[in-house]
Amino acid sequence: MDTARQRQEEAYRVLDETLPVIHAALVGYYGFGTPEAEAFQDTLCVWFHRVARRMGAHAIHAEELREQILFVACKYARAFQIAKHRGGPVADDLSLTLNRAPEEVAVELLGRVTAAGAYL
Amino acid sequence: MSGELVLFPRLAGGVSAELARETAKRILGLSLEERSTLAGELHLDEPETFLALCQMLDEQMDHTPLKTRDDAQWIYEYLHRESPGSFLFDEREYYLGELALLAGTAARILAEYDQARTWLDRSEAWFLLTVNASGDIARIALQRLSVRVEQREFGEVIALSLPLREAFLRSGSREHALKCRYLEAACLKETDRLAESLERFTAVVEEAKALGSSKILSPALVSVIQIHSYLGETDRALALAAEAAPILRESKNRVALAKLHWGLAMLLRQTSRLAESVEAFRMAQQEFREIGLRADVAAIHLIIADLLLETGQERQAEWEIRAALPILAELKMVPEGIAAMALLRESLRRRSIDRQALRNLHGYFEDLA
Repeated sequence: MDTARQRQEEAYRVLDETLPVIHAALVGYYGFGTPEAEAFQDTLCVWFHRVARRMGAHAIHAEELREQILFVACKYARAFQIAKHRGGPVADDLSLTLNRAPEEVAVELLGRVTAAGAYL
Repeated sequence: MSGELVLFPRLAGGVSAELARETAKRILGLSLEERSTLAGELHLDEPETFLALCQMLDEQMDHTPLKTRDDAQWIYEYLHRESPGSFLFDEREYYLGELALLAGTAARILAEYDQARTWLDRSEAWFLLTVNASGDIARIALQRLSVRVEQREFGEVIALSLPLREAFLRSGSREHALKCRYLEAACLKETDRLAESLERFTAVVEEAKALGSSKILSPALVSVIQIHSYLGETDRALALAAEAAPILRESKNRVALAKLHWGLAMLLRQTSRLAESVEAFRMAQQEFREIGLRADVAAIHLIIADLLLETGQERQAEWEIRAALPILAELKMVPEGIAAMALLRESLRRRSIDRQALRNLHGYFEDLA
């Protein structure tokens, strides 16, 4: 298998390992309904497949890819919920999450992926 | 609920990677006017198409830098103006950064250094908004270092190439790390540390072969040949040139191939085959003209002028210099180049060519080759 192919395979493995944690975060932290979370994940997958084929992507390690996808998921999930609830009532739990920086939530999720035994 | 627009990235139908590549090929084959007319049919709202376009622009860079610069600029301006809705998360910023980097790289090859710097600044501004900014900004740093080689800031390049190389090695990008070694070897060559430079370039050639990187192999081979030529090792240089020519042709690296032909012309000159040398220089010059490397076209005018003076053809030499001066005037030169050009202009005005000024000026360009 050529190196580019190996790197793509690695990227897709990272995606498979990370998606369950992202789904849990979307539903549990960011208050998405299941269909909404699934649509968000589909979008994230399409984006990530293109990221893995970008010009400079060959230089990205698995751990960096994992950080990136978690960060992007938290950043855009937060932005989506803020836009959706602007001017309206927000549940206390969701409000707590939206007040946290997406980087902070992403680091917490990264810890969970690592604890689950993902290859780093 | 406010009822405001929620910016949830939408999933469009999209296009396959294969269709995107076919479309990119079609786009690059059209004139700029045709592209503007047909933009709606060309999937220019699809990120997959932009991915293919960037890959193809990178592939054609050493073959047609002038076209690559124009293509990258057109696509950048299109994306900047249109903001298609199908881009997800950081994709628009990433492609603007990548297209600006490609335009900047092409401008550097074309010796348009101010333009190159402007594009590299734009690229950096866009990449900073993406998720993998550090890796992409390292690629910009490499291009900036290449511009500094052209500006003859050799000490600084040698100093900066080491940490940059380390950064690439740490991220697993061996080809970019090797480009840093290439730049270091080029600086040693320009500062007349020929033995050290030859050693480094030889190592670069070996590693480029191991990596399968024709982008680095081709110019590194040309440099090895040039150094043997400078050292007066004509037979070795000719033998290596014969070996390198098919490799360069296969890689479609027209820039390196034209520089190889320039090197062969120099060898002919060294062996006092002046008429053949002039012909070989003219062939190399035509190649540079075709790929838009105007600085090299001008430099060869000056070298031919020098050769014509050597054979007593003053009037023809004057024409060669007059052909070079308008091009040189448009190029941004460092002070030593400007001084030599002023002397040469003055000597032309007096109808008595100052050969030292001529040699200083073409020597300045040869160093950059």
